[in-house]
Amino acid sequence: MSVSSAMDRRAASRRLRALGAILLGLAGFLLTWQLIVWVGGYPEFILPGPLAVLERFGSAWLDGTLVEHTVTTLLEVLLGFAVGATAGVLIGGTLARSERISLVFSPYLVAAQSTPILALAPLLALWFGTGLVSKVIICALIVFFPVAVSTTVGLRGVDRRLVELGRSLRATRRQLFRVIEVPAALPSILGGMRVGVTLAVVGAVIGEWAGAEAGLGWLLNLARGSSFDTPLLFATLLTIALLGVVLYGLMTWLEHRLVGARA
Amino acid sequence: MTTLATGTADEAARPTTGAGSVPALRIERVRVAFGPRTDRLVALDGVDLTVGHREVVALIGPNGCGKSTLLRVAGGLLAPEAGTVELGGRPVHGPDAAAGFVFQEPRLLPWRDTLDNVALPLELAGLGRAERRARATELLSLVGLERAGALRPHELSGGMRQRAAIARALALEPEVLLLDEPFSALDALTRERFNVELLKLWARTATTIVLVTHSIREALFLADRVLVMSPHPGRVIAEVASPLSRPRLARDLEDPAIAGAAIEIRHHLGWSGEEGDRPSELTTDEAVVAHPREGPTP
Repeated sequence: MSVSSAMDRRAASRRLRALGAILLGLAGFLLTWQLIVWVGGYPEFILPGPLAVLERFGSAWLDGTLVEHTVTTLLEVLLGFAVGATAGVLIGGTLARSERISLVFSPYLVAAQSTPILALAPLLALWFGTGLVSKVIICALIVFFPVAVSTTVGLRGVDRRLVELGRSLRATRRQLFRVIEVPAALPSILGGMRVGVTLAVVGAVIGEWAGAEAGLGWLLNLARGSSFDTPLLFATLLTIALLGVVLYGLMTWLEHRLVGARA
Repeated sequence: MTTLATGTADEAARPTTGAGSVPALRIERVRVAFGPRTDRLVALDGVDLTVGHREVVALIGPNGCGKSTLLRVAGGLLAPEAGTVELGGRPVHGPDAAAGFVFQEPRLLPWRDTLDNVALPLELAGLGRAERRARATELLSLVGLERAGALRPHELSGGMRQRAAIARALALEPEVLLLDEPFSALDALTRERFNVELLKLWARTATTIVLVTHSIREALFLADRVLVMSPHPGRVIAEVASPLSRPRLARDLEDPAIAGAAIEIRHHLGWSGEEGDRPSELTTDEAVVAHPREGPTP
């Protein structure tokens, strides 16, 4: 009991020290930033200091600007992620099962992935309008590839011995898939989704940039272009970054919950 | 459930190999080959094997002699090119409920706890959750793992994992238990204990056992008959009866009668310097027979 509580105390103090290091790093970063602004004497519309950005960040959240646009972007990200990840798992699963299908379709997938989404975004806005749909498509496209690849890799890597065990227990094809293959591939699939969710944020912002009426990407354009509100631009970037971090954290948490207890 | 705990020590002492009854496993003129048509590797050719109800048969031989292949054919995991396979008198087409496999590795699903691993065959067979958990709990206590149900495979020792694998193989009450070098990953002491425990388990259940092993002593201790196989192509070249009577106890591992039978098996394996001789693959046992590599080198 006393040994374990001593170990707990030691672990707690280690965590505390780690937190201290992180905060120290952050303070150093902000201080350097502020120093550059002071030494260079830059006006606020070129490079605002961290204080100015934080102030603008606070006011934009309080007056509802960032709330509104964050909700818009978050909705696009979540819907696009859901569509793209589902398609990625389904198509990745199909590719894993058949070498021939994989041979025929893989080049298209890779080619599609290599096409810059930046070039497609205006076209999608033209076809599907400046609303939710075009952003969801962009997000889905960008999420699709890493999820499809990680699904294929995960399913191909399933231990054949476990599959043989399933066969020896007279599992049907469906049961094998559901009870053995999918759970075995899950860490890989979730890893792809973790990459995908951060890319989805980028996709939504690019989509909004190319044509939108709301969202954080649209706000970036507004702050940069028409109002020269550079502190707002930085505050928006900060929000986008935080959104990515939070979503990534959620995926990591989910991954830990689902597959954390394996050896 | 009926097949569990029905066997008594007396029954255990007398496997039924009578000609009148239907054998638990019958394999006739089985041929298995792998690879492209132009370059066939014949893994098994003209193999016959008949195992009586509650009999224990060990397959022994060097790597590549088709022991594991024969086991897979027996359980329906591998369809032979020619020949017939019957379990309990019924022809085998594909994986069969009458066969329970224990592989060299425990093959537990790492994302499931031990109870759910043991319940897996019942789940695949469509049993309800409550029923299969109750049954799996029973199976766990049968192999002495009653307290490990909630643990994940990585929290178990190697021996506990293999126990769980055995419990899982017994879940569907198979007519024949097929063991593919089940204890080869265990240390020597644990392995001896497992041999004794396997016989106890066998005495308590109504199952027939066919096991593949690399250990001559293990084969003679566990089995009624030891079938010696040779490679290229895989064939059964000899049959040696175990000199031990049942029930067998741990001290029977040191029975001098084993030594004589072991010498006979080694003779059939051809370790005395013939071509294709690969004695190092077999577990040699200093206590029973001197190391086969000793002697003049060619």
